[in-house]
Amino acid sequence: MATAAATTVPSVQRWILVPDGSTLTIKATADPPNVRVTIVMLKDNGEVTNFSSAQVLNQTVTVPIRSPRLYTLAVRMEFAGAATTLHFDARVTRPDGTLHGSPFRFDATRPPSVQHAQMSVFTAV
Amino acid sequence: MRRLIIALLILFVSIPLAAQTRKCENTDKISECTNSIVKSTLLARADDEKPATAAKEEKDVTTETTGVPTIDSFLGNSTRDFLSLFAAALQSANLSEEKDALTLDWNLRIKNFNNDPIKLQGVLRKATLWKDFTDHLPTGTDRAKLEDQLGDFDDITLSVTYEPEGKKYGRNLEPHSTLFDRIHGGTADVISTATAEFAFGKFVQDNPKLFEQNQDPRFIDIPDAQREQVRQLVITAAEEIVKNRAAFDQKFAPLVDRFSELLNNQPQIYFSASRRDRASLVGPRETSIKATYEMGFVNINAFLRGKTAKDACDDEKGDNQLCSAEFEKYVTDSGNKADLNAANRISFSFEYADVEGYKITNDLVPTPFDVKGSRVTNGSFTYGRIMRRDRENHRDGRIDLSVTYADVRGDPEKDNLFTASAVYTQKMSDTVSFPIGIVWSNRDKHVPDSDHRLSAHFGLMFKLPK
Repeated sequence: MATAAATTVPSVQRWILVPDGSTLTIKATADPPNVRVTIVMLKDNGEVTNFSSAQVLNQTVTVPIRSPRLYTLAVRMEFAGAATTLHFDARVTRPDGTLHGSPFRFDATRPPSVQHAQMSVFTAV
Repeated sequence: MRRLIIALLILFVSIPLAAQTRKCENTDKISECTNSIVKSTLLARADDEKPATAAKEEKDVTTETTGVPTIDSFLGNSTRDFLSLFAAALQSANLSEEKDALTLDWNLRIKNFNNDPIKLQGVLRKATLWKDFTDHLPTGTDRAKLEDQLGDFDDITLSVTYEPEGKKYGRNLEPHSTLFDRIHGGTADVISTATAEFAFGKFVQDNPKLFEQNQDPRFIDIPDAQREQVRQLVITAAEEIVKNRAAFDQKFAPLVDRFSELLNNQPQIYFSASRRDRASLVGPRETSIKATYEMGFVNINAFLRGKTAKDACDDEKGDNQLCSAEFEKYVTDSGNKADLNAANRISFSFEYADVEGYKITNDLVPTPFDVKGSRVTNGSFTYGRIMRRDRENHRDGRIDLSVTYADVRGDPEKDNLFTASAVYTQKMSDTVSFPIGIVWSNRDKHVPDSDHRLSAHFGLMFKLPK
């Protein structure tokens, strides 16, 4: 739950030299769910994957990471209705179960009504 | 002199330019460079800031426009707040006769009630001798000794409020998620490019040794031969992110704002019951039930009343593009737009209260004081609108006009009461408001803190952060 004096955190996260076979796990929760969270994932091979709010909000999304590949995930959060706080947590787990880099964690609440985050995964070749 | 002015002008122009271009210095890390260009509105996770034992999910039921605030304040307005778990609201003196009140709210959702919000509220007031009683005390009675008999918990009010939610009522997005997605029309997906980000990613993959020891190096740590190339790649990638976001915001932020306003104008119904328990010297015990209806005029129900909009936005048979076009037409209609800007809102409430009769017997009072019970049926109407709009800073000024009629039975000493009030509330910040108002009553003894039928009031209202 965010407070009025909460600290602002960066909205861009990159995980680089990620080993083949790792997993990106995304959790976004909000109660009441007065926010739409959509994610557009682009891969450097031209593939586009859209994750709808129904797939993302209060669900867990897992993305298998394959090498050699580059991924970007644009996260859009649109708030409407009574106030709520979105809790976001994304992390990359290596095949051996250990964390790769730091988790990307933040809270988001209105205003503004539209907010953004971006994650990139650059695999090791 | 002219040279001096020109020099000063150049200086003034160059300072902001220098500030803008001063990014991605050699001492900056790659992430710092990116985040100096891509501004963030995201907040640190609260559970990252708290000790682990205190980190738990709490149910925010809302902050805006719901619920029953401190009970029966003359300075209330037509927008209501459900505060979060155990949030406390302190009502300052001079607001009404209800001085020094501490309000505790507890919001919860129960599955048996369709997961609709239920609010429990406790109001603890500083106990004072009941005025009707003290007015009849014989001269020479030791009031100070009577006051010494009062305890901290001699004036407590408990209330429970139930608010049904769904497509027709309430201000939650979930029941309207299909409509929201239709209005979006799916076109949001296309606003994203990653050419520059992939160019940087490719560089990382082609030069892994540069990042093996430190995945987020400072530019100064990158060899001279590649430093400028990396800096340029990172800056271009960051600028691409900014551009993507701006394109999305330009297309969808006004739509989301308007949708949110329509959702905030949806009707809300509350049912509440309350019990005020007072020590005999403080006043009679009182039980009441209340129903409140509140709405803005331009809302989702009104939008979907139009047949074309209803068909275009139907959950199953609707069409995204038609629905989006209908929504655009509705919110840009000059009448609707004016109404949304004014945030017109009305509320009705009906209340029945039963005041218990009893006798005050006390060693310090020579003869028992007879308190007559009464039954009060109360109806009120409030109209409110924004007078001074400050969307950017969220510092709106709002006027609320209210009339109340109370039919009193069972106590011949009490009269039926008609009260009218006008309150202007200036929002000073997200948590502080400054209300100022006048109250008129057909019975001067019912206007608080005044011997006149007309009185003025002002105060300061705090909403503690969640």
